[in-house]
Amino acid sequence: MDETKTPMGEAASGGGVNGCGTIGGETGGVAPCAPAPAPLPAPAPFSETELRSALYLPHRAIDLVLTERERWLATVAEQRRLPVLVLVMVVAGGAFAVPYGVVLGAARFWQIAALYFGSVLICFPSLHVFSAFLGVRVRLAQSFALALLISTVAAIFTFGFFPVLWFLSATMSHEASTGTLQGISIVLLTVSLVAGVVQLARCLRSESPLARARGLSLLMFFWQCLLLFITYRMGLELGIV
Amino acid sequence: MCRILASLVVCSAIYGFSLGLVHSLKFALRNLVKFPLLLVGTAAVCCIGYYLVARLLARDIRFWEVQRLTVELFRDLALLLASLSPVFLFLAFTLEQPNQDDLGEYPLFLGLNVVCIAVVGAAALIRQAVTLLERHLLWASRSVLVIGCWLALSLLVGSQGAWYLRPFCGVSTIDAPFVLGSEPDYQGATDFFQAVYQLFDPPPLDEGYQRSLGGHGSGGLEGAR
Repeated sequence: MDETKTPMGEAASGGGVNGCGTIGGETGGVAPCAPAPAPLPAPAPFSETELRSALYLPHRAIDLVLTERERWLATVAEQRRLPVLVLVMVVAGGAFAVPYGVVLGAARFWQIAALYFGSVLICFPSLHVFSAFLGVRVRLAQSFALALLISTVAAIFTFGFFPVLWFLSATMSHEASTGTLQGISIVLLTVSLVAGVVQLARCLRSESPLARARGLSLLMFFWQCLLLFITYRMGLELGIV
Repeated sequence: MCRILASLVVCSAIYGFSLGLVHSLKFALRNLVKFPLLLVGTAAVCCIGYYLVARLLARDIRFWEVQRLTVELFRDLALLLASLSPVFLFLAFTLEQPNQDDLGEYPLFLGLNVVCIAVVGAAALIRQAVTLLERHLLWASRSVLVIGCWLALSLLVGSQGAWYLRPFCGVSTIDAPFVLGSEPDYQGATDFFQAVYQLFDPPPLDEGYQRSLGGHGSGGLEGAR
């Protein structure tokens, strides 16, 4: 057997690919090679249409931020339509955070958005300055998109939890259960924030050149610690914690 | 989906009926509504949360697919419990009934129900974890994580829902309204989480008991939750 067909329909001749194809025994033939895995196509950045549709289709915004993280990262890395992506994240995050705030109290509808986005805004300058100081090659808009991912994912998760909090508050007596309800709310908000941190960590584990920028992961670790602390303090200020 | 939902409602109603019959036919009939309401209500309240958790951990999963999986999970639970209904019906008719002096074999009935719900719930969860694993080629650990998150969310809502809709069964010598809602129990707890907390840090009984009597005048049956 001199050559073998790969599943891709290409003829892989003996002797070559990946160092396999050793000379056989008596027949002097060549042992078949395992076909070289086809390289995965690089994830494409989001198109203008996709980003615009996410502005008025909430489930598309969820897909964009939660599911298609390679494409999200590609959009950030290549800085293609980055302002629109940032706009989608801000709008979606703000809108998804409102119902949970309303459950806390009608006049407090803005507080969850303020909790997450406010904390990110406070911590964002430190992220950018430190990344520049440490020589991490990340541009301002890219840093902002990375930072914003945490708050957007957290806000989306509060949207998942608002029916839970509403149900609990509707079935508990307000006089006796204020403390319990607040405790549960803190747990739900913490879980949401952790989901945001996990999502960013997963993005930074990918193969994108942006994710592989030297020192970015380490910087992000310390920055997230700072962000968690500031979010806690913000929660205290807003009377959420 | 509609068929799964219908079988969930029917099976949970059957189980609820057998559970309530330990008290009276009135309680059994009430459970025809209350038990399906508990399961369907829990699934409805948690549906967005289930979806977001699944989306984070298993990317190629759609909203309706998640709803189908979770409804199937509750359906399995209800179906397995319904299959045990004859056992509980038999026990309800044959156990030593409570009287003014002691609870008879009622605690045994209650304990058996709790054990069965735990075992059956675990079986339903494992089955759905395997389904998730097969359908979406998830790693086993990730399937367990998704199902574990769903379980935590369901327990958070379902336990308080069960508290609010209590009593499902009870000591037959004491009557109670359709739902006790957030009325305090004999220790003064007005919600499930407070009641669990008070297991570890019980308040003085007299104070709580007086509050219960003074506040709403409905004593007993809290043990039946």
